[in-house]
Amino acid sequence: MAKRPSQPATDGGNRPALSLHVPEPKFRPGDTVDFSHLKIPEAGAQSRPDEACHARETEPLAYDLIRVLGEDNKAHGAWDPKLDPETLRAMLRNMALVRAFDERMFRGQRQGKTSFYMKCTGEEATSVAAAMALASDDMVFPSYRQQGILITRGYPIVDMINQIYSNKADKLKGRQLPIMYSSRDHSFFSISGNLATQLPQAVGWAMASAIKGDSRIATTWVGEGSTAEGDFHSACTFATVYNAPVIFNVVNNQWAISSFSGFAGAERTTFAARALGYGLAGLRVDGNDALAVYAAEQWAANRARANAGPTLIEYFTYRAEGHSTSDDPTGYRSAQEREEWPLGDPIMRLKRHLIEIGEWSLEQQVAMDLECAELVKAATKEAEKNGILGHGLHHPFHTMFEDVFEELPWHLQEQAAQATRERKIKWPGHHPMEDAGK
Amino acid sequence: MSTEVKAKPEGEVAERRINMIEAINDALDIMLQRDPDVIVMGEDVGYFGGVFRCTAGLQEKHGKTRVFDTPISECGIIGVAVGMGAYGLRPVPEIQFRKYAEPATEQINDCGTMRWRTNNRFAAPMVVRMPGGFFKCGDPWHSQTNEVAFIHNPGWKVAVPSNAEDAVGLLRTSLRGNDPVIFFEHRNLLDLAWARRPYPGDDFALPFGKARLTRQGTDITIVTWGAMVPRCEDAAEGISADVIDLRTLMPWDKDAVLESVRKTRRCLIVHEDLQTAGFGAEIAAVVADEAFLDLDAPVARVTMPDIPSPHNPLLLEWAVPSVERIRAKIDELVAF
Repeated sequence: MAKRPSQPATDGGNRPALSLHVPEPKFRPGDTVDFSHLKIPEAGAQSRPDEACHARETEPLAYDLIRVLGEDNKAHGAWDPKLDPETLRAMLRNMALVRAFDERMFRGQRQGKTSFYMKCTGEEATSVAAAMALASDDMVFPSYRQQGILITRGYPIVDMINQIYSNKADKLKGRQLPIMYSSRDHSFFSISGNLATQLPQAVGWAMASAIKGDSRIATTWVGEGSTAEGDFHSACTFATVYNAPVIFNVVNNQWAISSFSGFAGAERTTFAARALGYGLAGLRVDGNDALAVYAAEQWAANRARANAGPTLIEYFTYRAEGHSTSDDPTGYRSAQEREEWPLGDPIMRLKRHLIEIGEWSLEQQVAMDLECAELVKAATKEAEKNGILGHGLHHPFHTMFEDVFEELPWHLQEQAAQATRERKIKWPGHHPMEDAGK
Repeated sequence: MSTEVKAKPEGEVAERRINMIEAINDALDIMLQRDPDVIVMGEDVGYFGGVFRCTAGLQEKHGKTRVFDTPISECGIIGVAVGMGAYGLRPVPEIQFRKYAEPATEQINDCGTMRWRTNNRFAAPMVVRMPGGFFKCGDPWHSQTNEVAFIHNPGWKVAVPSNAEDAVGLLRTSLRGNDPVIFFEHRNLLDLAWARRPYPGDDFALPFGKARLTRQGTDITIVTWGAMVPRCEDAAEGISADVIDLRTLMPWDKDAVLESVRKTRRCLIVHEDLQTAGFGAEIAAVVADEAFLDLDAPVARVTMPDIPSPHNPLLLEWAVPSVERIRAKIDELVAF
């Protein structure tokens, strides 16, 4: 066995002893939270460079924070996307619907109707407003907390629930995790449990679109924590090398399960600043300001569509809930963080803005919230007619052997036949699900 | 995937003998001409034409947006190929040497499950060309074969051609199919005289999962693939043996193996990949399971030991199954 080196080293002479820095978040459970160290600039104070500018011109914006909605609930500055009230109301409703959906599905998991769920509470703008700034056929390579994109693009909520319940109407036949949706019709790529794999994939789709002279761009979402993956570096390199028409959306929600953003490097610099070393445009944006999100995504989309280059956007936001239904954040962070978060809540801020400009009222808000809750409730009831997780087999047993390859090869035919035989021996009698697909 | 084997053309075309490099280059050239969605990319494959010259001249002929160099990032190469495949292109990424594929492991796995986990909403077919295996001197990065690693990624097909004709036929079928394929190009076969074959024509295609009986006999079945095929042929000199070149490992031709073993009653598996849990173990298990009563001798293997490939040629020569070691095992089994 190899010997370990003797420690500590004694031949260092007068050189000072080295020390290792292990990041530690500012607040742990029970701590009083004070976010005054976060520099929150005035809304509207940030300049808006030309969409076709040299990537280096975005440098100040990679360290700043693009904000549109001010404390006065008005829209300010060059980044104000100047959306009409109808679009603003649609944006508000999309976000409210996502929140109502999350509430219901979270409860469904607690009631045992599904195995697992992930809310995006507090981060709705980073999906909804961004998706609204894109063309509906721009390809989206999401991470696991972008249900807002699907809902914005009109994917049927009942189909989402069918998959979450893994029931007989589950379009993915009980194979895929509850929230790992995919829909070609909605230009929404599949979600991977290997984080950040979607980044180079989005670049490849964008390169293909450019090779073919298409006009559609690719966009992808990733959490700040998984920017530490090698895929992030590969994706940024390929994007800049081929000037791919792609947007990287880094959702910095401060927490990767229990690891704060410092374990992805946030103590030293911003995530938007990562862009600069690659020669990508970099924008750092108030992710709880739906108007700023829309404006930044639109800027990057216009840039990509004009062959002016890829963009990395950091959406600075806060994960208001646990990582998933399997996570309890009270074990590692202060409960006060959510209340004290200085950028507020995206839905509340947009609501106040609409009221401020005379296009919305509290009564309308209450009615809309009720309507969203009712809509989700009705969809849930509809989905429950197709069954829930744990209530038996919802798809013919042998379907799990299909689609591994385009055609079923001999070894899977054999293995499927063997498994079916074994089931019939173990549970003799009628097997409707075995017979259903034959 | 097409299972049709087109007849080889007679006459003039068949006279032209090509090595595996020309075979691969020709097949890629024709597919680039015929299918506007085929894209060839990888480290040094563009202007330079690849470290083994397999893509020589293709960029000049088909243009820089169809044949191009990539950054040194295998995770990126396979990752962008997944996106291209999902878009509808037919990427042919090259991994420069076998073990350079390791950074792409996650992307390879992600690609293979795509069709299944989206219930056919998305798929990312691609053909990953990858040279490897022994050649003169060894080392742990360029010389391993380790093909068995890919077989444990559901959704991937694996081709291990032993000669120029099979390389053309399997590459063409790979490019026409809708499943991702690992296409293994053995370094020792690329310019080996044994692997040179008459050009099989512009439409020649071979199905996956169909082995080739390169020698026929009655006393022993030798199952092998890739660079071990010529060694097994040499080792079987003077023996009445069936030599089976599997040509593809996923899927593999079980029927051909069992049919032969039932005739010869003896089975030897020879592969360059490491012994423990190598693909030979799967074949041995199936033969033991399905042909136990037909056997007159134990199922045996000759493989690399479970070590990285050594650099010194004398060490490497001992590590890779040699004609002598294969012959000794044949004699032992025949005399059993």
